[in-house]
Amino acid sequence: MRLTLAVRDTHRLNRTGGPVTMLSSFTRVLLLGVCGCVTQPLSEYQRQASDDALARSNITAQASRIRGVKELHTAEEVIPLVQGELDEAAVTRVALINNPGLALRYANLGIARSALLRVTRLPNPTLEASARFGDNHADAVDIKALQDIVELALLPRRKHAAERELDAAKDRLTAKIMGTALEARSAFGEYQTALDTADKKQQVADCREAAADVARRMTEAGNMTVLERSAFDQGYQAARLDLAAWQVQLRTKREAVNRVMGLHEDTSWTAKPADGMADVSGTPKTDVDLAALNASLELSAQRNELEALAQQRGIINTKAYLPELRVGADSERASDGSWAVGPALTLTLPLFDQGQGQRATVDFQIQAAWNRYAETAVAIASAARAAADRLDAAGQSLKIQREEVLPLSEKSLKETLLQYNGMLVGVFDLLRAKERQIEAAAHLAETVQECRLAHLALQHALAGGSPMAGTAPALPAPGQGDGGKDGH
Amino acid sequence: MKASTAIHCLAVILLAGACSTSAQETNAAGKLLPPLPWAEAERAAYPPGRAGVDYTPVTAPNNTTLAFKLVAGVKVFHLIAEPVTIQMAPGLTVDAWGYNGNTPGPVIEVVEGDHVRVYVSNRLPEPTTVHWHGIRLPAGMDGLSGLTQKEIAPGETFRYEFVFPHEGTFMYHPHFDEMTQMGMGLMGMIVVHPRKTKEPRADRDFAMMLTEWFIKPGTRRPDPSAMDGFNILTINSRAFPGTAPLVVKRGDRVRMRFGNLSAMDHHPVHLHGHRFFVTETDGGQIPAAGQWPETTVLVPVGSTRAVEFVADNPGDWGLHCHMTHHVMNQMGHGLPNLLGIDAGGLDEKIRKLVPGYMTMGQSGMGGMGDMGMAVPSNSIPMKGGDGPFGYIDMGGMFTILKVREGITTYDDPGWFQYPAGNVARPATPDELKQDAVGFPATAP
Repeated sequence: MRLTLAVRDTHRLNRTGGPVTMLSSFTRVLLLGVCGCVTQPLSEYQRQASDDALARSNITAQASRIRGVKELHTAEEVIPLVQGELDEAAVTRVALINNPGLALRYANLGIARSALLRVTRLPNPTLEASARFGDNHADAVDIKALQDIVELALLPRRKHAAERELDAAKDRLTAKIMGTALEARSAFGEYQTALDTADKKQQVADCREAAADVARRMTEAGNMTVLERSAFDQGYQAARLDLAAWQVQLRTKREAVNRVMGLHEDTSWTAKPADGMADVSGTPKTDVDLAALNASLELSAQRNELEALAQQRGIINTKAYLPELRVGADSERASDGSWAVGPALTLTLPLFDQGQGQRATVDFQIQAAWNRYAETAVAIASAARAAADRLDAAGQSLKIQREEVLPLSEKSLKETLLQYNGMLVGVFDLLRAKERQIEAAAHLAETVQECRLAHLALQHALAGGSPMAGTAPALPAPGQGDGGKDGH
Repeated sequence: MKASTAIHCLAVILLAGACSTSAQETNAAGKLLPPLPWAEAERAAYPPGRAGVDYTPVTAPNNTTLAFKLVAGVKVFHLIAEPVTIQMAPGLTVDAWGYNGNTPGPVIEVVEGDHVRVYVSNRLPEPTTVHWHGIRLPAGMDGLSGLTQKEIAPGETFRYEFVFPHEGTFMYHPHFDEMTQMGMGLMGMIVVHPRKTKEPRADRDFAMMLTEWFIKPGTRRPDPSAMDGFNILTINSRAFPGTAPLVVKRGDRVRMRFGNLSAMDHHPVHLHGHRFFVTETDGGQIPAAGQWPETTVLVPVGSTRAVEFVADNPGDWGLHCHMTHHVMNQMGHGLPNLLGIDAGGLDEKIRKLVPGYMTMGQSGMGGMGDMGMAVPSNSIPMKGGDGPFGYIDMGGMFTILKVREGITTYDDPGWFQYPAGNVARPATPDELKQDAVGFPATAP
């Protein structure tokens, strides 16, 4: 129900104000309207997020620029890069320039910034005019100008809420940049290891082929039965199948690199061979969960969103009891031609709807956001501990593999060769020993990669990044319980 | 014959008969019991036999004879069972068990009727006993742990005392944890010379213990639990080329005594260039009429054999077990048989995977031990020894009998100098043609 009241008083024609508070609000709103509209350019927000992400991730390979949200094709500057040999830094750089998912987050930042721009604009006034035509030229004209002062008064709250939303978007962009870098480094490392594994599987196949060749020669010489030989042939074919199956794995891992680099087609890039090293220095082993919680960008984003929701609730509360209050001036030309001027006021009376539904909605939204925050915190702490445990286990495994298992396999091969020289074991034993040495080397390479991944995951968590999918407990999906916000 | 003389003779006969009757015992039913095996020797109370006077001392290649001292007419020996380290052959040093610092233990050499006292000290980590294999002696001296005596605990010394009643070739070994202790080398030979030297007297008398070991290439300690796959076969615990040669002079009468305490294998020992007569088992001397000529004597497990011959054929002669695997050192078994395969390109292919690989055995295995290839430490796989014409492709239970003219000592005289034109050599084309011997251009 809307109640409109207009008072026209020629004596108050020159009065310029109403109640003091109204004047005060106006003043503030006017100031806000002038000053609050000043926001930073989108590119500046992007740059801040990028710098923050790269500093947190300790990445030296920075993107030369940020991909534009309207770029749908491979960025021109990465095309030469992806034609040659890539290392981890180059892949990361290409991903930061060219990853479409990252561009999507940039777009989200733009949306949030646009919302801020929108809410910092003064609401437009309304102008009402009416005329009445009568006999004897007794026509009357009524002109009324009104401004919704409730919206004006709520503008600082709306701005505050929008700023928090923008901060949340920036946090998520930072996290996305870090996640993209992590994904790039991980995917490339996986591919390097897969290449190494493929090489070792080829060596195993070579061993089996040599054994099958010896068996063939023995059969042809009349020294081995066809049945005995078939076992060696089967062993060789099994190794070939294993190698073929691994080619699929290799292809899958290469495509993961292509995806994170945002390439529309597979180019001729090659991977620099893995160096077999895993630097895990400088990683804390205690209180990693607390450190991850303190640094978490996702939690920061959710805190910002909670604050925005709190502002929303304040807005709803205000509008529940004062849904609309328009004030202004009303002038009327009487039939005699004289003008009467006076203040006008339009008030929506909350007789039937006092905003109970909206308040309940936002209350539940706030509760849901708190729950999500708690859930996220548990997941992040757990993921950090899991990452530390994973790194610890991988480090121990790496130490055993590097210092014991591989040297033992190499020693075993050497001793087997000595035994072979003494005709104490045969050529098949020798080739099997070689296979075991190859397998030990492959296992070491996989363990190095596991150690690197675990180290990256922990560093990522400690830098405030969100756990990668599949590497830790999943985070709640962003935006759950966000629906029904009182939009701007 | 004078009457007094006749009476005297009768008295002697009656006295002898009375004495003889009194030495024999009867059981409760009055049945005459056979005399105890050592009774006669005990009664005779012979003086201790003297080396070089009463017998020609045995020669034990790579071994010694156990020293003794005389105490009131008793030969007193001291055997010490202990861990020993020996070189079985160049390149193979073994931590074994033996007596008095060696395996086999030193030869106990006595004369028929000698009264001996043997002290046995145990320095092993487990109990032991000594069984006098083949000796007929009082049961309490037989040395079978648990049956005839308590075991000799580590650190203890036991006393054995008995008379060797019969001549012959015998052995001694533990009868406690036999598998381990004999598998580790605890054994020795006993030579009992006849009280009255038999003619023709042997000029050279060799005592050789045959046995077998399983020593994993690259290890130092025999594995006594092995039941097959023995890979080191030894004469006096030495494998060729670690076996000392047997040096004799042309015309020497040579006796060779063999004992076999292998775990599982008999050994047919073959001598090149001579024939011999099998003269003795551990059951005793074979009557002359029963001795038979051989060039190979089978020495079963747990037995001794002695052979005699005249060294009438100068030269260097192999003496070896004729089981071919017994003359191979640390031969691997169950290997892929590459004999006859086409090995073309195989080395190049496998060397890409395993540098240093070389295909072996495709044309035989001769000379494999002489290729100088690196093998496991402390091992002698396929190893043989150097000979005057090159590499001797044998090992294990192999040694060389060196028959020489004109030598004054039995020190190793070196390789035999062959008379000109008396060594096998490549045939010349003219000789082949002369004898119409064709030779196919390619192998069949």
